[in-house]
Amino acid sequence: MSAVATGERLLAGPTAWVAESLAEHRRRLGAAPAGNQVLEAIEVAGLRGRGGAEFPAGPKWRAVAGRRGTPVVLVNGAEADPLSLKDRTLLVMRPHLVWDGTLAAAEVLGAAEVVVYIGRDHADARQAMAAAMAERRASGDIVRRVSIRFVAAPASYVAGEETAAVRVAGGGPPLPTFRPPRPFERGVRGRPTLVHNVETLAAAALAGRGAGATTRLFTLGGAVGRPGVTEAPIAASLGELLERAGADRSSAAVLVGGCSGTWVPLLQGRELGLDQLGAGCGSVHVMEPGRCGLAVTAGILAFLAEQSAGQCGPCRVGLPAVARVLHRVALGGARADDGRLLSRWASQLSGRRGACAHPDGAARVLASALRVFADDLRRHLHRGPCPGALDG
Amino acid sequence: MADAARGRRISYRLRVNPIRCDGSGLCAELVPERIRLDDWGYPVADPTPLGPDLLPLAERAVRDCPRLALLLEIQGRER
Repeated sequence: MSAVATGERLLAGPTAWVAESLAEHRRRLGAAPAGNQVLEAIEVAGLRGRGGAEFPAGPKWRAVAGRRGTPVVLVNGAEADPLSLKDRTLLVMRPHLVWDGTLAAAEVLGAAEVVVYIGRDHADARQAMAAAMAERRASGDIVRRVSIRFVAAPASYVAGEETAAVRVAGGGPPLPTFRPPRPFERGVRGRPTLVHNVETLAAAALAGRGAGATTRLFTLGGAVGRPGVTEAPIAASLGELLERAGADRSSAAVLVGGCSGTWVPLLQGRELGLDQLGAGCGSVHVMEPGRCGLAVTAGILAFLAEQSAGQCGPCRVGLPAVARVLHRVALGGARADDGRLLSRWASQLSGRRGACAHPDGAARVLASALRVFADDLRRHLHRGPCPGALDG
Repeated sequence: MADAARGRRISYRLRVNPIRCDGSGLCAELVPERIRLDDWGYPVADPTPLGPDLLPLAERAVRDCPRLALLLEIQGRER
């Protein structure tokens, strides 16, 4: 793996599953950079969001700054994808790095409020962030003119979507809204709101110290010898990450980018860069050898269908339909036309059919499954389920 | 400079608010050139800008949508 100076890494420093103390953090990285320094640095570095959408961070800060009204900074640590652990890891181990980025944003935008939005079930992450703030206050590190509020993110897939997060932070339900208005125009309680994934804010804090924001966090899982969170260059190849994970070489495919990500064949995909593949939430999940990719994808589609907010027709009706047909293709009862039906639905569900990108995500994982498991699909349609679909 | 000049030319396209839409299908009847229905009866809007021939029909579809779920989005104008 190409060398990256340790000072430029998010998880450089102690390796224990506990928060790095404020004293240690400051000794290792020096004082927190000023807000305008961070803003300039993320623009130079071309920092992009690490929550999945990969929107450029600099323009987002500028957009919020350009609005009337007192901004809010929403720190998004909902991490609702069951295949991702990197946000929790970062919050537990490096809360001060996340705070540095958050407070820099609040300072340069003149925000009156910071909302820390962390998964309801991620108590250790929430505690680490709260303890780190208490530590700052106790050390005389006064956080002026900004109130800090912790809000529990409901344990649903779409609760991490930015407009749903904004709504929960305003006391509403975890349901996405139609755009416009976008959060930077009208966010928490109508205020212009900067919503960033926690890793984006931590990367901003490093960038403000002169680092290049050249690495990101990946969650390695599935059929791997070394599961867990790892840090690698943004453009690392899939092969490098699989090597690091100790991936089972007899596996057929890898799911990159979480439950709404993209299937990549293990044999042909190794040379591809994670940046080209679209790392999404940064999850790299290796399929168990011998398992049937169609059956695994049917399970994912059932999950995504169940997690739909149910607000938009294509998602509410289309996702269960896809899940049903994929289930019968994978496990028995397929009809001759099912392959064509699934391809048509993959295309019908993509292209912003919902208020949020949930249907697009479902369409993406479906389309990639139809591509990567095309041979399996043909066999299933002609001869019924394979052994790998029926066990496990 | 050329971009800025092009950017000032206004164009319109249809967009669906999927939260409001209940799939009445009226828009697809009025502007089939830009709206088709998916397999579940929900409209898929073609983002191609509307020419002067289609604009009046599109405006009518926006007005007549029983759920007020159809929007004319203005493109290429400074915010």
